[in-house]
Amino acid sequence: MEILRDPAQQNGQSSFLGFVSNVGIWLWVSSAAICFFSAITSQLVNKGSKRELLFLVGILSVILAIDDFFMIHDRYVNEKLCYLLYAIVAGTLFVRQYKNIMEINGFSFLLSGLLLALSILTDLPQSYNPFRYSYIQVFEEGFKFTGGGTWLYFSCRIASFCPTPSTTRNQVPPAKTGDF
Amino acid sequence: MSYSTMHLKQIFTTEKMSHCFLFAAISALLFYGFSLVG
Repeated sequence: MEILRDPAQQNGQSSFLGFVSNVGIWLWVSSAAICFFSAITSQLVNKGSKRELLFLVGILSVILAIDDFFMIHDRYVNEKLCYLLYAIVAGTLFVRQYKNIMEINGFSFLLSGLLLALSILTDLPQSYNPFRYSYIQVFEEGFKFTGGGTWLYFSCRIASFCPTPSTTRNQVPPAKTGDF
Repeated sequence: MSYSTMHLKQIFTTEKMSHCFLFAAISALLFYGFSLVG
């Protein structure tokens, strides 16, 4: 029964319990949905590599969503190992799809990566940080949320860069002179 | 124009940067607003 009901409802807490964290998970899930939908439906000129980029960004978004939702790096797997894995995956994605990323919007990819890296950097040295834990937490979550928002923007850019069948099929042909 | 300069120009295009910053700024403002409430 515990798995069915909302945590806030079960504990008699406010509906806004963990609200920002939940919205952060929406950002990852939205990115994944946009990428997978576009990868399946788009008619790509350069099919292989752009579809691969969409799938890779979608898969990375799903992994980040699962990690965020189930608190994998907080509870189950060593967080340094998780962060190292994310850095390797993001780096590999960047190197492998460098040309496409630069063509679409390299800046948003880099800004998103920077914000997420800042989130990790504020999270790691908590044991010897002079600031209060609550302040560090705000910065860590803030960087993560903004990084997630930028990642969603990047996903939208990739999806909009790849035309869907409806946009290519329903294009109005140029009017001929003397039509009116 | 050298290869690296060309790539830097491709990354730091004003239009791309402004849209991206706008999205990031909206996210940051939303977070700030939520953190003020809660």
